[in-house]
Amino acid sequence: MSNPIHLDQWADSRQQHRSFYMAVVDRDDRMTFVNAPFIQTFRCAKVAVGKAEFTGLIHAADQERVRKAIGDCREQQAAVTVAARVKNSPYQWIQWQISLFPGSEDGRLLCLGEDVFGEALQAMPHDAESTANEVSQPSAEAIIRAQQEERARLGHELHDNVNQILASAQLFLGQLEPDSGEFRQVKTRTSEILTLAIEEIRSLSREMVMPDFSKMGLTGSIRQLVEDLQYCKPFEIRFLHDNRKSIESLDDHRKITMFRIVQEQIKNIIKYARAKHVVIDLQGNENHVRLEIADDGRGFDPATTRHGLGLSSIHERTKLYQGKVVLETAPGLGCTLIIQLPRESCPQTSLAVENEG
Amino acid sequence: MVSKHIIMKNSNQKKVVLVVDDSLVVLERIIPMLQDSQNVEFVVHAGSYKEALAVLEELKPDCILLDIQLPDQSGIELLQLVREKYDQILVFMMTNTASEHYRTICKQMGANRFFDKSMEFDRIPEALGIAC
Repeated sequence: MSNPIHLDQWADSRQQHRSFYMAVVDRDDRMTFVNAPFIQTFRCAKVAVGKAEFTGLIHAADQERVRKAIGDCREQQAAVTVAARVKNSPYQWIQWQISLFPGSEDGRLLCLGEDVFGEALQAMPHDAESTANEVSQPSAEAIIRAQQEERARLGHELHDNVNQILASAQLFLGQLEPDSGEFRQVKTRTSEILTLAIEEIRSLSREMVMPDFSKMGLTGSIRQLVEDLQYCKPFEIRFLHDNRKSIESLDDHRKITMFRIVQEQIKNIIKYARAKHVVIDLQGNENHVRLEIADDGRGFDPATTRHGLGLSSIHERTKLYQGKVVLETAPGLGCTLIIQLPRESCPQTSLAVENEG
Repeated sequence: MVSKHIIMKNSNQKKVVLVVDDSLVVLERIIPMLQDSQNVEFVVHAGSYKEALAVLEELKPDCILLDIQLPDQSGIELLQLVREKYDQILVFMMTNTASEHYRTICKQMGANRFFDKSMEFDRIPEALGIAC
């Protein structure tokens, strides 16, 4: 008779529609059982014929830690937990709980994993530098392009479909003629909520869809972003630029990169900085384009504050074009982000030129 | 795009089994049971019709243990699909509602065996050994 195992976490994860990964790993690191989310995430058919090793599916930077956790589990005969990234997906962290397989005398292990999200994700060991270095130049570029395409697709979908559905609902609602004051109030409130949803989606889709640089250029796109912010008034914001011709002669990929960096940093300021004033300064010359975003918010200590996904994304995007990132900040002294992007990149020196302040 | 891999096995090799069932009790019992089975090399679990389809995209098991009642679609629909696309896979249906009606339908649809989970669960490993 086999010893029972307990998988309440699996049932919980299903109720909450979260992915839950399961694997049974033998003493030689080969898997004898996995579940469907494991197969889908690790994309490895060899898994199913006992040819793949469990630790071989872990991101190279985390393999040693996982091996040690497995060793500790066997040695101490106790469950251990370890967080590790997926081999070909360096931004996906899974928290593994590894325990001895109940009743097993041959050292088999039961590995149960869940994705790491939100604040817990920011608490993961931060080595964006090594992550960026491990991602090859073409794949980093491909990832960013794919992200841009996906954002654009979702943005169009939201604008063209979801917003049309809401607008239709608004129209139907308008045809109702409530016969009592109470129902009239309900109609008015429902209409207000629909309008709010339509506005939210319009704003979200505008952010997601790539700006049309052929019409407004990079400076026009940033200007529109700034005008939107002036309308919301989260802080006073000014946009300065010189030599528009030089800035607009950048290729579209670099313009998108600059624009997304502005968006990311503005998001960071709104989320964390509590700033009263923000200045965006864009300058161009024959060699490079320089972007400076300064705020007078509460700042932070770069030595002790972990970079969130926003700043990592800024580093990643800049690195792709062999640019420089300088971050000047301290607690209580605001923050200035400076990006310098060369007009032409030199792939051979791609990793050497970055300078982090 | 994920490439499709087909696992070819000869009759002497141990078997790859796909379990499709959304019950926690079944999952907790069947994993240790199949781990101990001499005839089974590798087990994959899918908790829904959709998950099972994703697994079948990646690998071709020798045998599927298939619950009739799945959370998204019927196991009988999956049986039908397997018979259309992967005719050589053995399919063992499992159910808690082991009426003659279901037995007859599953047999007509091409199921190889039919198990009452409440009464015949422990017979599954033995059946796998004989059938595969």
